[in-house]
Amino acid sequence: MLRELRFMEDKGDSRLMLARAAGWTSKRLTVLCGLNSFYQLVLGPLASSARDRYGVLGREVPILYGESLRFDERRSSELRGAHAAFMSALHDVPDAPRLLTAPHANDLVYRLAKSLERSDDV
Amino acid sequence: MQNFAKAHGIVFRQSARQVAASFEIGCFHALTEFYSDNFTVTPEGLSRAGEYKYLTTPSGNPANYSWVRLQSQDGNYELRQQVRICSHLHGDISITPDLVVLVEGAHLHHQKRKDYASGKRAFFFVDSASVVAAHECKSMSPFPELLVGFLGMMMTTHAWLDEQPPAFHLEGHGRHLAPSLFVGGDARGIHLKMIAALEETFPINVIVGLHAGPFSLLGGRALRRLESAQLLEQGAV
Repeated sequence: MLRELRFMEDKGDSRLMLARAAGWTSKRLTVLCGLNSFYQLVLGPLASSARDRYGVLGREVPILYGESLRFDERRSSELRGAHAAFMSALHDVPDAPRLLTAPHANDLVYRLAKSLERSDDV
Repeated sequence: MQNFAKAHGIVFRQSARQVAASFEIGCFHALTEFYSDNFTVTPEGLSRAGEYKYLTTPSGNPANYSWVRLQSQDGNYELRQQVRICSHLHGDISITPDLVVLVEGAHLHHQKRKDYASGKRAFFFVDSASVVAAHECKSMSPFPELLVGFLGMMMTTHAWLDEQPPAFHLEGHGRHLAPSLFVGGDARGIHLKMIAALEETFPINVIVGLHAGPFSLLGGRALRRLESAQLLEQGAV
């Protein structure tokens, strides 16, 4: 993602420039890319097993995956708490869920620019 | 973020295998929830302690692991995981989807084969004729080769696709989810167009963005569904 970001910088990408003008420095964007990767590789998949839903599986009936991995209400509760804390830490990032799931750096910058444009319109 | 890492570090310190397993379990939950709309969903084959023993590899004997009974007055089905399917296309083609819905009482074969574990372990499989729908879970961003690769799984594991008349049809109010590729990552516009084209051309779903979404197969966009030809003829659906 960082290589793509540098390329966009070199090309003077208009949406990147818009984000820069709104205070999104190179350092801030680098951190955002890191958080994007963390979310997609780690927290998102973990949290997907813990969402609130109907049924006994994973609650009254724990799921044993292999010898050591147990999916039960306690694990789900911890994961939901971690997910909520992570999203809370990003409360001042516009449209954080969409930025965290952007597949590539230019998608992330595009979505960020769109959010910034929308907040200007409000 | 430092506070987050301090408070929750132990939660996300997991191996790659555990992370992938979590996504698979998320898909499993979504599928059982989907079926709960039209079936009574009951876990079977629990351990003595009342736990669901999730089969994680095709080398395990499915008979020793838990599965989910899908019960309705119009017939029952079985939702299982990591069961090897031997293709109707050729006896030497067999693959193992992450999740599979089978007709009730699907015969589980076990063979000792010289070309498998030197004949020391049984080769477990069901026939593709027993398959209603096979589903695959991928905790990654979608890309064209992944999407098209799923077509191979669909074609090799669903005998009804090649039957005349087929045992299952696409039906808007069908009770079964059509063969689906569950993808955790979000898709770019060009890939969303490709997904729409694949779904228009083949009896499949490609469901993306599951890492961040509500992870429910109910209530969102209309997904492709299947129903048994027999029930459709009876006008029961």
